[in-house]
Amino acid sequence: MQDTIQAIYTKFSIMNIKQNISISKNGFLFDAETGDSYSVNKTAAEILNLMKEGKNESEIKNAIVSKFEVDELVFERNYYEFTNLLKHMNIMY
Amino acid sequence: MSNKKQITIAITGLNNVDNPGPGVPVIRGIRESKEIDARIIGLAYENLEPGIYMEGLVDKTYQIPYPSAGKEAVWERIMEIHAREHLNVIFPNFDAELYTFMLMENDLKEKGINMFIPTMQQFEERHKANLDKFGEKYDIKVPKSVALGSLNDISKIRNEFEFPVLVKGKYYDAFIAYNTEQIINHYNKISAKWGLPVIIQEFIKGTEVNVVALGDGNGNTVGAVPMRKQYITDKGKAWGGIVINNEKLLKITRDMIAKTHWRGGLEMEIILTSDNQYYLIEINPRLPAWVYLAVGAGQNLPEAMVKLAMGQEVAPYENYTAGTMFIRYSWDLIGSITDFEKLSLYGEL
Repeated sequence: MQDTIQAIYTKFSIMNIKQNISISKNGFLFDAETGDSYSVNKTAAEILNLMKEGKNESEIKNAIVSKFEVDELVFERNYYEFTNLLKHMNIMY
Repeated sequence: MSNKKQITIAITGLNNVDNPGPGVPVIRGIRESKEIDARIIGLAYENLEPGIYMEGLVDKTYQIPYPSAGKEAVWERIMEIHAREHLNVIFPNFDAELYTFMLMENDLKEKGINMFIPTMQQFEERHKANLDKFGEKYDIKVPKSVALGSLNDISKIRNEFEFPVLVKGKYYDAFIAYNTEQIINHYNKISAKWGLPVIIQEFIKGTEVNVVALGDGNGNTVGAVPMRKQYITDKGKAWGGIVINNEKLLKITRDMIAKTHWRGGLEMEIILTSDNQYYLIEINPRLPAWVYLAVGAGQNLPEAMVKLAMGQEVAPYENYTAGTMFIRYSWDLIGSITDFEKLSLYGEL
């Protein structure tokens, strides 16, 4: 039962980046479906690449918190803001 | 010894100006062909079309009369040129001249000159004035359009549209109008330049995306590349653009070509709205001035079109590179008055 709940949580906490999105090492994001392009900072690029790899929210949090000087609460607040922006810009669904 | 096939191709649209014709990019594509060794004959309407003077572009240029001079005048001039150059292919690049070339197509064929252009029916039914019917017939979403034959018709459409609307010429030009006075202004300007009808079209808000494509005349798409304009001039022309990978756009294009059995090059102009609806606003019955972007992205459509005109089989292009960009630029060519003199006096250079 616990495994099933964990599987459901994992499924829904994976942030799906649109397939046509490519992210360069320098943080340049290109949406090949619409032709839109954006510049993001290093942290955002890292988060986006983790999302593209299919990592869920908690895996992304662990990766970022262990790499950068940020506590979990601050990360979560910024993370939600960032993902809302990505949805608004049709980069993520 | 080169294995390339030697072909003499006459090409119009050398006016690479701020509202450019497609001749120069078409020639660049053909010049890059690994299979065609082309002798390029430029056909110019005006003696200051930049393509005439560009180094290494055309091998020879002849001035030809405007289509408004009549089919006979154009035919005679083409036959004079053919007697000297032995043309294999004519590659027309303007909407306004296509009608004349369509009328001459069979006669040209008899003289050994091939073209790969739309049929009269295809040309007529995709006219801006007929877009409503076209959308209905081929199940494509189009904005509401009405053709105005006289200024009196404006009062009749008052309740049919919400402002703003687009006021369009039958071949070129489009302006936004926010009230009736502006419609009248644009109507007068456009009808004086391009004749009637003038088309009133519902204004669809969204992002403009275009597709350049080539149909083989049997319902197959030989190639198709979608592009989003990144930088637009005050004439609405793309000054920069990027190749995108949009399956829906490609499907709309392939379906249209399959249903109409489109023969030749075309450009689909489509508006993508914020709620993901695709509205076809125009079909141009020829390759567009940005066709070299398709060549850069991996689909040499001008080359494919020449091969089709010569009756060769052409395998359809399956792929292209999304993210390929173009940026147009202006460049001052230095010429000599003697070249200008030759063209002005003798109609050839």
